[in-house]
Amino acid sequence: MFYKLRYFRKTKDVKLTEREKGWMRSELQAFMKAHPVRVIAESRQIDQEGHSHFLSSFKSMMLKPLPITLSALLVLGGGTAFAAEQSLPNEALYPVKVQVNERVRATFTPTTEAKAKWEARVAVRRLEEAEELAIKNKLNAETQTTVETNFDAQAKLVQEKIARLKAEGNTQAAIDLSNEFQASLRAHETILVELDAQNIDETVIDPMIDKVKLNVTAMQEEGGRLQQEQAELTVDTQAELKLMAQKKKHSASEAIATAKHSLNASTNLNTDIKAKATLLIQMANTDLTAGNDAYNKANSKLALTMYGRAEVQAGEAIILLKASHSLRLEALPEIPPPTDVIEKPTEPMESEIQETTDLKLDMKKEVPPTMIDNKTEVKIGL
Amino acid sequence: MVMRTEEDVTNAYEAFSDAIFRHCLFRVYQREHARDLTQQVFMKTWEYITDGKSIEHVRAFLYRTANNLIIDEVRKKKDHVSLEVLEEHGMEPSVDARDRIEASIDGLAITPYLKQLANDDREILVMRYIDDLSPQEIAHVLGETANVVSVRLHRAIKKLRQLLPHTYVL
Repeated sequence: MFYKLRYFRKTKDVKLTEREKGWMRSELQAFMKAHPVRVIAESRQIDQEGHSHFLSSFKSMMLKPLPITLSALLVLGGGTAFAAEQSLPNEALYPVKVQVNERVRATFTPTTEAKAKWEARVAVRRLEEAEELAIKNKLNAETQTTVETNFDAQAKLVQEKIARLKAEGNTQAAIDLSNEFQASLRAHETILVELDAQNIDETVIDPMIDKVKLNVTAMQEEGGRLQQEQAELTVDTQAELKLMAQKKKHSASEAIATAKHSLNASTNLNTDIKAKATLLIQMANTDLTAGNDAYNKANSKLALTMYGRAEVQAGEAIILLKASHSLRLEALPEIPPPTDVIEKPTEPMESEIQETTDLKLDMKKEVPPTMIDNKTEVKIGL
Repeated sequence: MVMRTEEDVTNAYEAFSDAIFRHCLFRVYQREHARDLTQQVFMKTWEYITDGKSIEHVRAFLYRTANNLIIDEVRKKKDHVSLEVLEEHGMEPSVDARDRIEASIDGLAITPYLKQLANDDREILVMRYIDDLSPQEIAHVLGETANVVSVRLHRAIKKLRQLLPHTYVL
């Protein structure tokens, strides 16, 4: 006779969180796609059919582009390089874009900071490719694996570059890059979620969204750590800090103005995108005001932080509007929300945000709830 | 259930990932480690299939794979988690504090007592009372007879009883 020991009963409650489960699922699916079944009998048959073998080799090349040297580019000519810029995974010139154009530019970028910014741009290009493929109904398991694998590698490279900037003593540049990259990722996460909502195949979109979310989290944590370290550093003069805050205020104000201009100039904008961009600009303004308060109270460190946040949020709005425009994400017909979704944030969110910024600053605290869970954000307003 | 395709493995993941995670967690006591092992179980399962093989006894295969991975880990290094740490922190909760934690604290209370058992005893108790495997299934996983499993179970329960506080002895 077997009996249940009392202690064991509650062990059944121990399980993976939904987030863990989802992340692991996407990793497993990517792994399976990257390691297809080796069917020996079939490959023998393919060997006997020359054209099938050629096609499978060609496809394999598309998935793992062969390195192409600069000399090959010189042979191909600049026109090819230019045309390659528009190419997408599985297209003939895509290896030129990734292996030649991007690598050449990285090679000839002079400073560590500029190289780091370029690598971040390359990572974002992968997301743009995914979005373009999704819009064209070409985002399938194969292309998604290519994009995701390349994005993953590129995102790791960005993290290495940020670490290098820090190691070289350029902490502010590391912070700026981490914030900018985070803003780009969050903007593209919103775009991907919007594409998901437009019934693009969720089995290929969801892994991309999860991957981007992971990197957003990593960047948030890294940015928080860097800012914390910077706050702990002894600054030689208050004047130096004050100057940094002034410069950051200027760039934040410019970013907000640009974002507002882009928003006002956008026509037939997707409702969700418009709402999110509006909210981002509001939050940026709130942070700018908080920065001004801190600056007037001679707290240049806090002012620098708040101006940095304002710049990131405005930057995210700009990227979001630009990507929405280039992908032509038009306004969707109004659909009543399901009864179990969270209500769309209204004006009180601003006061909540204001209250948050007035509190002791916690660099690791995430952006207010509407920005964290983009699944919630997507359902809002639908 | 026979596993031979990506879809089969994905379905198996949906069906068994929590159970495999629980199994690993009550063997290695660290959430992140248990998560990594769970991931490896399904990846190794897929690697097995990519060699053109199919799997008929899915559940047993997954547990066997998990056990092999755990044994490899134990051989590589000793588990340095002290009882004091376990009692102070429970088991390690979700590394990311922002995640919604679903583990019941009560469910982890058995851990300090399991930790005191030998690996073989712990393994069989976890499979029987946490993984809910039948003695026949356990026999299949361990490559032993059901009789041997029954005897081992009986001995392991006896040892665990001696460790539990008197108020909880059945």
